[in-house]
Amino acid sequence: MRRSIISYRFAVTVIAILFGTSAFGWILTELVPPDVPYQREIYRARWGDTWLWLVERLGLHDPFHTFWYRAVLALFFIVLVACLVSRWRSIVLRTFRSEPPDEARELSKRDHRLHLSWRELKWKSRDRRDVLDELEYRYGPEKRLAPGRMDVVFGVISSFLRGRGFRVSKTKEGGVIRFVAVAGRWRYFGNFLFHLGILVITVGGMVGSFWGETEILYGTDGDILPLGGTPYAILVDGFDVIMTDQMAVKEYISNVSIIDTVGNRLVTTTIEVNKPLRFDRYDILQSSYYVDEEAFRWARVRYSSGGNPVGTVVRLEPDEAFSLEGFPLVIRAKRFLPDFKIGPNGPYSETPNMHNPAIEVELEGEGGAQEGWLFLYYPRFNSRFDLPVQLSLVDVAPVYFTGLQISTNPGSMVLLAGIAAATIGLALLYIFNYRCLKGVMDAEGLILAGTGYRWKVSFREEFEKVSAGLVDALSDLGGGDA
Amino acid sequence: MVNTADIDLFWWSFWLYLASFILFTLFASLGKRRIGVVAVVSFAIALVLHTAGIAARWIISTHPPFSTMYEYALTMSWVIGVAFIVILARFRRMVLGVVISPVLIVVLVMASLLPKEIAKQLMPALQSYWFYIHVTLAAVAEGAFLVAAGGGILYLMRGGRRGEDDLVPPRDFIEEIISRSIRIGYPLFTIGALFAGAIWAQRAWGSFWSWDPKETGSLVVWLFYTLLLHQDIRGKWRGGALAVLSIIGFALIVISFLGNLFFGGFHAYI
Ligand code: HEM
Repeated sequence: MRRSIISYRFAVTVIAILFGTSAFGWILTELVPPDVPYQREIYRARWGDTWLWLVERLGLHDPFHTFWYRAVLALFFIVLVACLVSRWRSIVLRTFRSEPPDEARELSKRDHRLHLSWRELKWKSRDRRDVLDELEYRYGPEKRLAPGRMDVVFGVISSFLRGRGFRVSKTKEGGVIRFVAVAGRWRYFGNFLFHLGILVITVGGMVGSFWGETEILYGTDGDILPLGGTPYAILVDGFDVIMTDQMAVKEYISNVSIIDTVGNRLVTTTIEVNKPLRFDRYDILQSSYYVDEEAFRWARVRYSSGGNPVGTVVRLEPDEAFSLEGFPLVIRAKRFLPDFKIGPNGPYSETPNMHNPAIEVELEGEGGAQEGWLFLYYPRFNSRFDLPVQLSLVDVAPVYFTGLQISTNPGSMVLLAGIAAATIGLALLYIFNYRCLKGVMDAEGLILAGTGYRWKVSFREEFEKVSAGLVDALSDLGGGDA
Repeated sequence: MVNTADIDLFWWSFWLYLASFILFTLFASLGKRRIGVVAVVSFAIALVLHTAGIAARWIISTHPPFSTMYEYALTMSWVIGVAFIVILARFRRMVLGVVISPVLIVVLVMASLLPKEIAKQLMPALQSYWFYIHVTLAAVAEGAFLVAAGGGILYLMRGGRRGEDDLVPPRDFIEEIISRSIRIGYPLFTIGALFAGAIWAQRAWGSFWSWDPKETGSLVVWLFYTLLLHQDIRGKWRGGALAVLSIIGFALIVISFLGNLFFGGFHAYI
């Protein structure tokens, strides 16, 4: 076998270095970047100038995008390429071809060996004649196996091994038969596919990180969002957040169309989390959403007099005045906050999410106007009005903005191909257990030696069984045609 | 919090596993076969209840129970339980219980500390079959790595005593259990934790890999076992070294499992 340009030991060292740097980066991941001014000062106070300089220089707040981590990745990549380039022939060939041993001495290095001398091989039958006696009886009075008879004996060995799942090949030269029997040889091909797959994944990942783009676009009903550098755009037809009874988010659904420059709808579909749309070279994903912190579409408010808990529900649009039936009052919804909080400057929305939706209403009657807040989830905090009417907020439709992530990843197909190759490779590695027996046989006897690729104990058992079986098979040789 | 049936089953199985651990230890120290048999029976009943607990949770929550850290730990420990029964059936060495049951109990103790509420509604990002493939395979793989760690502990406990004694299997036998568990875990981990995880992340977040702490954690675990396998082929890091390393692997898995509790990131929920 040709020597590889990169030693196995070096490759393992590189994997060890990658492991070490990744583990180091793993511990560091959550440092807040020092590029925020006050954070820098905190770090300076904690670590002093030198350490701060070191953290910034080495990018320890974001280790996986630093030059040193990239250098290790590059090294790993080069080693993997070098390994595959220099070894693929020998690895793949091993799947299809196995070399018989050059000489008997080669076998003495193997873990498991069986030595049989034709003269010593005992019969199982009572009279315990040895093989040579038997062969002499069958084929003539020679003391050693004659060349023609060797083939017969080898035929027995070979069919026995084939019966146990080994593939046997041999060479014969000058009265010596050298043979090799292998099982589970697809393992080598699996090994090759796996390493190739890892290489392809690395390439796909690099292509993606160099040339991939990603961007989040926000829009509400009717908005048109440009689709990256293409002549197409995304038209937001609608966006819904579907909640469960326990107010957990069940689904975010964007109804969108892809339109061309003149407004033709080319595709109309829904995009949900885990159901992205692929168009042109873009993946369009449901990424996030937010609620407009002031605007709303409508609110439904129930009003009733003291004695009547059912009351009537009205639907109010922003700033629209509505006369309450049976009361000399006009109601108007003035303001909406999705996450109501009281701050020094009065009410505000703490987040753009529907955590505590509230609307501000104004009631106008003969005695003047009164204002107050109604809460969707916490009605007990509703403002009290000095009027004979009771109000509660039944429902409110905020203005949602959908957050659509558009991303291109030119490496994604490459990466998926790599994953496929590596997965098949792993399956082969897992299913096939490579075992190899090599033997040299001449007129005096047989030496058989074996190595198990994976399991020492199981192979030892297997080798013992094979040896015993072989002795039996050879013993049967003399059986029938005497 | 309401105690659902699955949580009662969890506790029942927990106490039975604990009992079986104590019995296994007694068996190992006194060498009385009958105690070993009782330990195995107790372990088997615990495993049945454990399985029933997972099934009950599946039925109650109406989705496969692999979506919270608690459920993940439950699956991982279940794999260890099944692996033990398989190894026992194949090799008939009850003493392995002395090391496998405490590994299982450690995982269950972690589970017991985690919130166990059933979320009927999975957050949208988790509603994907890639997610189930990802989590199930990763849990099974980590279960197999933990079995290897159990073997590692046994190997070290066995010390330098030579030859076969009745109770503790010989070293090369334990070595093979460690080695086999790692070789079962490795492909499952690669395909489940890394490949299926990346494909799911691509569909849910638009990017195969984001260097989030849990992702990095599994990369570290994977590189660790990759290194181990490569050394193994060269015949290095075997014996005692392999035993120690399989235990270090266990530590890495525990850190990566609990990592998001202090690292944050995308995997905040699992
Ligand atoms: C991250 C990178 C790598 C991974 C994930 C990896 C993984 C593996 C795996 C799983 C095996 C099979 C173990 C078994 O037999 O069960 C293996 C074997 C092997 N790897 Fe790697 N490997 C990587 C890099 C390399 C590199 C850079 C080399 C270059 C020297 C290399 C050379 C080999 C060789 C020569 C074998 C043994 C083949 C045989 O005898 O069957 N590997 N590797």
